[in-house]
Amino acid sequence: MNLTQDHEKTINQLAAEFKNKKKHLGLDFSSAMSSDQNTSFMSEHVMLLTKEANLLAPLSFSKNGKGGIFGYFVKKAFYKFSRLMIKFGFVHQQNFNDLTVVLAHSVMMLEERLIALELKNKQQKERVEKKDERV
Amino acid sequence: MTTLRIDQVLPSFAKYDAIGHDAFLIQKLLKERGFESGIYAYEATHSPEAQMYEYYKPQDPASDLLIHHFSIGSSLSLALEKVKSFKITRFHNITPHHFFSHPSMIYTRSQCLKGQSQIPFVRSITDYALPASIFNGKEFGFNREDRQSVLPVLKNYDELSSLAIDSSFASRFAQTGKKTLLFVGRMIPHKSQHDLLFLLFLIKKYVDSQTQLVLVGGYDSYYKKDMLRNLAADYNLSWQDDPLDQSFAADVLHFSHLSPNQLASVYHCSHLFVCMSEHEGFGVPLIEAMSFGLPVIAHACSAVTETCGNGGILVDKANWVHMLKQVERLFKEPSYMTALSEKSSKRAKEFSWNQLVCIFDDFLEKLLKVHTAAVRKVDLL
Repeated sequence: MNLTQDHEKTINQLAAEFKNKKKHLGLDFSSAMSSDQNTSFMSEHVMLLTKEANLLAPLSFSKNGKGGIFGYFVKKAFYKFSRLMIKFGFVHQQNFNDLTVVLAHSVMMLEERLIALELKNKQQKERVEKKDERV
Repeated sequence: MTTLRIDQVLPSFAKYDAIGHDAFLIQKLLKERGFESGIYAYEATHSPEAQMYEYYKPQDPASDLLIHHFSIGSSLSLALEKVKSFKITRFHNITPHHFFSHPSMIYTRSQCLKGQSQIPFVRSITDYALPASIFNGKEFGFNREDRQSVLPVLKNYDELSSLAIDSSFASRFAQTGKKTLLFVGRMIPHKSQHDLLFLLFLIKKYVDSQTQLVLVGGYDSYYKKDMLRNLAADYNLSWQDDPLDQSFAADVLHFSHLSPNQLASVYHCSHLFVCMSEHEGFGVPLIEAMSFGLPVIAHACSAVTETCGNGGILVDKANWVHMLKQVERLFKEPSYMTALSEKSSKRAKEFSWNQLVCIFDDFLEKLLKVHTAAVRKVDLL
């Protein structure tokens, strides 16, 4: 079949419908920020987050010394919570997505600090044990 | 004279992913040239080829030069500040986080965001940049031509195209008698498999109803389960998952994992490689497809444009009519198909193993000159 002008019109209509469908599914990225804008905007954003996360990190929520488990449950609980909020229409998907990124990043920073603390404790314990052996 | 030690460090290492394999081949080439070389993983290693870097207490493995593979946000980037070796950043690009807007992908989104925010810091501690493409070089923004080389993602592309064909795959493709479109890449939003489904729908409706689409790529995410499958159903396209022991009758065949021989068979039996991806730091499957002489149609964006070069047809995927006309011409004019196939093979030769080794040697020569000058400067001080 050769593509006629009528075909082209129909194809363009179908393409417009498909674009709407993509928008609805969150798969239309054509209006996203350019990567340069994106990087500078997010750098500032993340700098702030890092500060906040570092302030929170010394409050060790670690359960049995395993920081990772805490982070895992927070993420899991937050995911369930976000699904419910979107389902009942309290929050728009995109706003929530931004919030999830902010929180996920904070949780990651917390996890890293907790792992670092855990390692520090472990090393201190080892040093004490070695000292005891020498005594 | 003591032997120089050039080590590599990555957040995590798996020998058979593109970045892990790239690190493995760099190590192989370095060892062949008489250097000592090790691979270190910071968070996890899935292969015995790499040793673990100690968590949060990066022990400098006495590397004279250290190649840092940077492709995602990681604590490794920050830990490297303390390492005194001459640092080379192998920048593989970081996928913009806006592609991962679904709540189930917050971890990936967050890691990408972290990676993007780490670029300025990593750039500030870099002594030499080694991006995988010109596009990546621009994104990294090192801006020092005297201390930068572009080295494509290393892979022996000739090896894949010379593998034996799986006869059962070949015969099942032949039985369908259909034209086969192929795309290889993880099932993830920015690779835009959803656009391929729409393209298949249009081709079947307006060009040739006997056309099928083969998708090869893992990652069983919400994107495949909730979106692609539903989208295929909306456009009346039948879908088969991993039909390794079945006929290839469906409109869309999805293979999550294939052996190298099976992958070679899929490339060999396909008629056209179509890439609608919106972001690629290099595009390994494009070169793989070209090494089989497969005609390529790709959406011109990010590094796809330079990887494809003049070996394929670059399109704007917003213009579906133009894309459809190109496919129609390819399907109806065998001479056009042959001409494109020849262009494709010619382009692949530019990424042959021998060529890649030459590019690697040029990079190594330039790097060692810069390193020697830097060491001499420190000695004088």
